[in-house]
Amino acid sequence: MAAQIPSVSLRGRRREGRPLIVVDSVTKSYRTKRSITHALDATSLEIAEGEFVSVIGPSGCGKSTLMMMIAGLIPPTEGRIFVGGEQVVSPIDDVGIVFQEDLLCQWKSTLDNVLMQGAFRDVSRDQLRERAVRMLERVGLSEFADSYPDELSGGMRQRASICRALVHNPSLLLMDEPFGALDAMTRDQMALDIQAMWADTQSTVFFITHSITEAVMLSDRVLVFGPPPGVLVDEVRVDLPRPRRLSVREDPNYAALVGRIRTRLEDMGVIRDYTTAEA
Amino acid sequence: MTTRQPKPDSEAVGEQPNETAPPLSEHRVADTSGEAPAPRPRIEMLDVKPDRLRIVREISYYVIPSLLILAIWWLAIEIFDIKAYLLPYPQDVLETLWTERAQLIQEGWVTLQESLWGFGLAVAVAIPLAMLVTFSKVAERTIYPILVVTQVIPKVAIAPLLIVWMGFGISAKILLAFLVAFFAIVVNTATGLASLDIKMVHLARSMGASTWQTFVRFRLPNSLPIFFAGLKVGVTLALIGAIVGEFVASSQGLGFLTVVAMGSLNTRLVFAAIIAMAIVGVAMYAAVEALERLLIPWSRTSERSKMDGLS
Repeated sequence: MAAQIPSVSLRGRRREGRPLIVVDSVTKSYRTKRSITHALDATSLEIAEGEFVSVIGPSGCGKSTLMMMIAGLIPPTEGRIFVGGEQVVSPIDDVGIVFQEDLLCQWKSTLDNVLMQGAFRDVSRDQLRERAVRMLERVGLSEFADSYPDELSGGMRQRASICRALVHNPSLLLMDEPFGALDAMTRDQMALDIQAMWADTQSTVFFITHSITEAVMLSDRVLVFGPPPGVLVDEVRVDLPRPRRLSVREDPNYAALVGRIRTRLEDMGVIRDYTTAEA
Repeated sequence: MTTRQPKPDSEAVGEQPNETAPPLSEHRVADTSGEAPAPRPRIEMLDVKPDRLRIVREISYYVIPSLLILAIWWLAIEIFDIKAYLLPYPQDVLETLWTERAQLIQEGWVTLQESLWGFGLAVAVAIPLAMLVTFSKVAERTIYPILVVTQVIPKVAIAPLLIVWMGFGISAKILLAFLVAFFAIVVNTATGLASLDIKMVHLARSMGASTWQTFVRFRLPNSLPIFFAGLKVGVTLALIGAIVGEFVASSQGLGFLTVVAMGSLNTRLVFAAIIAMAIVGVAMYAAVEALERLLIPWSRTSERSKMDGLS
């Protein structure tokens, strides 16, 4: 294990035992020219401090919308969201976000991209820099600290973007299919990297994915959403011991959990198995 | 033209180790990068300095095709027996270029000034307009149609009108250069400003950036490559605008010189003037490109890494 990453305290918001995120009967609909699209149907859920929660469901089920609402970047149509006990009405700042696209600034070096996180915040530059350097080292990007994003591979860029999301030690890490654009082997490595970084930072993680195996491997809890308009249909608690290795996939308990989620998605018609349909 | 070729042989290495170093390390690096995702070699590869041979190669890219064109030109006259007032010999044109250099420089300077003023004016007007179009739906709906209409009107058609209004002086030509160059710059600047991913805006807001900070720190630098693409098109168009103005009515400039020379069937001078126009155009284009390299160094590295298939 690499050296402990020194912490930067932005907010003293660690509230042991109480939920960090409360989503209270939230709906979201978009008004277009001809009709109203319901993205998310009445959804309520709670996420505990330090919990790693994955969200899985078909495309268009409102997972990303829910994430954006938690971040305060778009308002819910109905219902309320609380983060750290405060109702979310504007963009929250104690947060790091990773999208499927790495969204690095092409005109900045890898290190400067990570430091961008602190550009508009009231944090100590030196501390942030020290943390950024350590984090890049942790994910094997030290050599590329001064390279432009275009000189990095897709996996490296996404690693840098995860460093950027965590460099200010946020209470909450929001990830929207962060490995979606990566190849299978890189994804495995990224899952291990995320697990290691999460263990260090103790952030609460809200992780959107389309991969059942990834969700089970990483999470404390998997939330399964139904087809649009999305609604929470199942919650699967994952009690496998940590830290988890890739070999956890051969564990029968793991297989059972993956099977349960897959069955839920099949029941909803999200995954169609033609062999059983004919039988 | 005696250029020593760096030899990768062992004797040469002993003699001139510094000269042979770049190609050797290039080979070594290429080999290792295939084996493992070793990060270091790729950095080295990007740092490889161009050797002397490469400079010769670069120059020959320009020189050889030019010589070829001159040769075809010369041969065509010989074979088809073309009269000198229709097509002069290349060597005669070059000679005229030299003997008339004082006049060519003087007229070229006028044309350059007209083009640059027109181009500068176009940039100065285009940037704020592009911002307006980017940030206001109303502006987009009202301004764009007008821009398109002004753009589809052939400038040659309104050139006489402008000369009637503004006289034979430099101002009508500047206005024409401006009108021709303007649209490409507005469209590209607006496209560049709009090209920021909406998710990037969300990300910036979650980092605590204000609308203004998002604009200055994210949207503006992100727009630069497309903006410069517009500038490069615009600067060459500005020259065309200026010369169109000179053709219609003027007392100076390369366009004027061409018209006068054509009147006396001095084809050599016409050709010399055309070459001078090309020199002015290439100079302006090169200046914009140099500015681009200075302001957006990341775009150059990206071009190179794409060429090497790294990303």
